[in-house]
Amino acid sequence: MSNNTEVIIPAKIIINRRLSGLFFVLLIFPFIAISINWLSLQFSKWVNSILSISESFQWIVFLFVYLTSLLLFAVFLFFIFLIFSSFKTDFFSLLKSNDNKVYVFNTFKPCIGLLLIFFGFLPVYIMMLKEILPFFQTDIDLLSRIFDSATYSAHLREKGSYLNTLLIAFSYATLNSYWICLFSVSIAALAGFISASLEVLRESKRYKWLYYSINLIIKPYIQIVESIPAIILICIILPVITILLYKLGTINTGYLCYFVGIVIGMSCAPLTFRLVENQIYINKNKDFVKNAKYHGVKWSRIIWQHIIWKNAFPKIVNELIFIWGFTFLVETGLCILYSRGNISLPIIGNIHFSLGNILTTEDTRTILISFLNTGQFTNSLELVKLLLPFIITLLIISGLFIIKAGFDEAMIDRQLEFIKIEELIGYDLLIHNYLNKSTNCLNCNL
Amino acid sequence: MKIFSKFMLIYIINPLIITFGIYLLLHFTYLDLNDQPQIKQFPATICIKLNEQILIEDLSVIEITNTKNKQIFYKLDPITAERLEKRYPDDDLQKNILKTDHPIFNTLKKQSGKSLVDSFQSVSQRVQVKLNRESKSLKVRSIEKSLYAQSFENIEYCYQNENFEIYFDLKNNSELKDILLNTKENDLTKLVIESYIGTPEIEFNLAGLNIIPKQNKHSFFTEYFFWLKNIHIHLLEFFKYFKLTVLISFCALIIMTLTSFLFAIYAFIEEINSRWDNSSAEYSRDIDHENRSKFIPFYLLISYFFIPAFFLAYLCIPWLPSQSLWTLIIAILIIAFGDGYFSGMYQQILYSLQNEISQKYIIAARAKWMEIRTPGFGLINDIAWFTNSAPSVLRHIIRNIMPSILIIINNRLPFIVGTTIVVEAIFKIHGLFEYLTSAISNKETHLILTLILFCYIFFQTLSLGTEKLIKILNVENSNE
Repeated sequence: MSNNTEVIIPAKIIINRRLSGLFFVLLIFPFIAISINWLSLQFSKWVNSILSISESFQWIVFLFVYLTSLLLFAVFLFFIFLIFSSFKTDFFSLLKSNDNKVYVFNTFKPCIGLLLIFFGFLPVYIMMLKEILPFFQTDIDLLSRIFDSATYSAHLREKGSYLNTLLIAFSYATLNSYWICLFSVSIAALAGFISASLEVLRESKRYKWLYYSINLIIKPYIQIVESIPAIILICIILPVITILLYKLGTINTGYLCYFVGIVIGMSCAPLTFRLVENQIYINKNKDFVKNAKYHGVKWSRIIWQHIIWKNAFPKIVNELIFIWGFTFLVETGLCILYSRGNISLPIIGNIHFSLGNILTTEDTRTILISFLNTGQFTNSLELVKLLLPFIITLLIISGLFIIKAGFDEAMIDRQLEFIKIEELIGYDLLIHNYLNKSTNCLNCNL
Repeated sequence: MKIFSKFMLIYIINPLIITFGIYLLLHFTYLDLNDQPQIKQFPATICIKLNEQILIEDLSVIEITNTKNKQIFYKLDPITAERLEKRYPDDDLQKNILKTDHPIFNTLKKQSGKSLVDSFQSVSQRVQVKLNRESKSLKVRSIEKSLYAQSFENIEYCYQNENFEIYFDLKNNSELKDILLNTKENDLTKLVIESYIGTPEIEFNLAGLNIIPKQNKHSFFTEYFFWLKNIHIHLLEFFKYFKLTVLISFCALIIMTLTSFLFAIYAFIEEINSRWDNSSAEYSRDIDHENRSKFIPFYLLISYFFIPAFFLAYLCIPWLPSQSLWTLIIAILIIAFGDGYFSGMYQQILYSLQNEISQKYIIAARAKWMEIRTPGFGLINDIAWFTNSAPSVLRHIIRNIMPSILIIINNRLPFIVGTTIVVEAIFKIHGLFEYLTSAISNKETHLILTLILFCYIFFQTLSLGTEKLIKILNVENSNE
């Protein structure tokens, strides 16, 4: 009977689901790539130690790591190629069927967004290809000091490694921003999972007590987070976490970016929680759910497979994309508040090293203001120092929001089509006028 | 009874639970912290003796306070120390860090490579101020004798010892005009000194709020109830900061909503005119490109406006006018058109309009040859449905999408307030940003609790108001 319920799901949802899959590839790929890269490095070191290769043959290790990096990059490019090929197919099919350029351009938005994000994440891949060893022996102090003009003037310039260190700093910051976003999106997705699980528990007679007991904790939490601006809440909670870390004796600034991600994710959790709740509420009274229930399909199966996976999934992904972009904004805003507000935390140094942190350093700000006033840079590296973080942030945020806008429009257009067809049928039955036209239209669209 | 219980829940029970929960968290986080050495990083004047010369610079210094024996240590933070060693590899550094309470260094400019003796000569007069409470910051306005120009920047912040005494020095060529004192309880007091001879001793008797100083320690529960008891005072204090933030946020929200609403309606009219054949009531899926306005790409461009607000704010810093009103106006415009709020709102309104066009009543109205817009009138007649002009399709649509737009506006407001705080931080506007950062950096539990309480009640009230407005609108619609 479950096959009958599947028929009701619109056919064009495939476009969005394909996009969602590719979005996740883009989100999770750096994580997989870096893990494999690290493993390959460890493996090559192990091989090196076993075979006791002399230092003159160290290039073998580098070759091995470089090759794995290149391979991973090629796989990533293949995924990007898949995205574009799928879009190309959709693009031309729509061109042929409609001859409606505005409509086609609207559906092409996610593709543009993905392209922007790809360029935004380039520093991460450059780092993997260019400087492998310094990345794994990251000295956060050195990376943070790269944004101090004194370092440029005195120390690193003489060694000629300033540009290299600057690039690694950007890559490391982009990577840290990526971790923050990944954690935030994961926590938000978890909130959606909890919301759906609660709906499953609500209908079960055996575990209804569990639903009430979990609801007792979660509902007030969601209400609090909803009614207080996210940045205020994060600003209050983050020092508490750092103090707790300080008390525990783990003052490691490297770990703090994960906590920042978790806190931002917790403040974004109500968005997905409410979305899943609403989607279940909307779809609950639809015919396919009633049919499925009548024919004895399990309630958990109805929720997970038919409502969440087949109906609400594109919308959830859309919300997660928004959360990704919002995390970027909040993280940068947080860095601005901490640096401008002169908030002293009980840890030494920066709270975390990320793109937002680079953007808010006093050095970057001074360069920007002097450039806007005079229109000149004192040296070419200042141009890189200023433009790179702004461009990366702008590309990623714009890319994410454009994807979201494209998804929204694609979904609305699809909904409109279905509504139009239904309404036309109803209207024709009422006034007996455009019956032939509407049926033709129905055939050509489905 | 139901309404009463709802109000009780929103305005009394929930706030109490929330604030007490957060109080618990903050209390136990900050509790043991005072017994351990406190490490604080702040910029300080530092005197570094090199082989040949003495450097005076504002550098980052760590203050370590041991609360048990009340000993204070000062040392350079490791990054700064390493940086200095790298910068002067041939010199032996004798890091004589002078305490921040040393009044001489408050007036010294950042003079790299200048000897101490030269710097001392620029200081002539010492001013002593006695207070009966702890101060937060102090600003002194002085007059430059040579230029007759007023300056606020000669002295800003100075040390206060245990007897609430403040010392600061004036430059040789300047004269004391007046003093602005900001106390710990954010009570701004202005004292004007008409004549100044020699070294004056000024006593402040601050007429302010009767808040017990921080030295009086409370127990776990009494501290919370003490805050509850003085909640009205705290809320009044909070409102001083909040009113500016909320003013900026609401102005930005109104500008953003109105402009996006107008753009969306014009885009929708263009679309509907090109799609709807005027000779029949049929709604065509294909757009008539010949009748389509050339402004459509412009609308599309607006929908791609996703530039972050902080980015726009940074770009505006060099052109920031000196007048605070213009700064506020620029901040409002940046918030309204930054962070993708405008484009998001535009798209949401357009989607709502597009969704509404497929409703049955619209098809029925078109079947009766109802006009899209009221002929002979402006757009305002279609938007304001309470006017007596002839009904149009657009008027019905706008009236029906109003509830959904209100919900969107209500959901956006907390995000806009967040962006406002960030823009305030960049433009140094004295709003909620100042309150928030001072509360967090000074670990003021009472200020944090007040902030959370006020935010909760404010946004819940707005939600209730929106809910009520939607109900009224729906009732009106159903009556018609």
